[in-house]
Amino acid sequence: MIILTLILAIAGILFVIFKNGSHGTLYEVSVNGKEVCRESIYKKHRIPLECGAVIVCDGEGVYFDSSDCPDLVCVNTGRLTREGEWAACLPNEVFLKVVSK
Amino acid sequence: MTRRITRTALLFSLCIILSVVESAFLTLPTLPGVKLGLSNLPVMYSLYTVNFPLALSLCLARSLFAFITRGFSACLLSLAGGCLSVLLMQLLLKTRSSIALVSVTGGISHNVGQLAAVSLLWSTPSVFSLSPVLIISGTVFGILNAVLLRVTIPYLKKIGGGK
Repeated sequence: MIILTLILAIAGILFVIFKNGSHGTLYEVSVNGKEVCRESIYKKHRIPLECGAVIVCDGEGVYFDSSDCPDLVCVNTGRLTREGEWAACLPNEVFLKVVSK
Repeated sequence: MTRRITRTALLFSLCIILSVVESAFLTLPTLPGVKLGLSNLPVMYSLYTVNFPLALSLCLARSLFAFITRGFSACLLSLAGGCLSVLLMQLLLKTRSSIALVSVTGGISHNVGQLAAVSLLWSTPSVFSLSPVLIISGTVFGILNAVLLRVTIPYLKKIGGGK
């Protein structure tokens, strides 16, 4: 019982630490581990990738708009706005991350 | 002897079917990687009633299945998560902890293993920002799985599933 409470407490602390990141200013897109582009989050942009995933930036956040992968975890991750948030499309090996400089 | 073969075959197919079933459940928006952990049930069962090599081979079979259906990266994640999970569960078993603790450890270590594999594969340590969500879901579903296991072990033993 004690161990379980400890585990949940650690999870709670980590959650607070990660959720209070500052608003991101840039985002990076990596395909197969190599950085493909690095753009400002404030600029509206639509990035169709060769592998089939489409990444859209609407000026405030960035997200996977659509993908041809079977599980769609990337699309379901939703909109990323804070620094440190990320989304990934495993089958297409695309990694999207919000950074700030 | 035939009983052993049948039991092994049943456990293998259960493992794979359960991993398909749990993938069929909706992926929650904004929470990638949260899964029911049902595919851990045959692994835990074989740890408790058979031996460690069988549990390990169940994990390998699960990873192979992931490779066939979902591709290379899914296979690596499954391998990393599954092997870490099975190892830690076996270690905990030796210390005679409660079944809930074993199940929770299995779930959390599975997720941690997968995150570690992703961070190594793509050299991005920032994936660990997902860990709080995964720790909580691992704990919740770990307890659920423990309950399920507790309920089903007596019936399986009656059918003759033990050694």
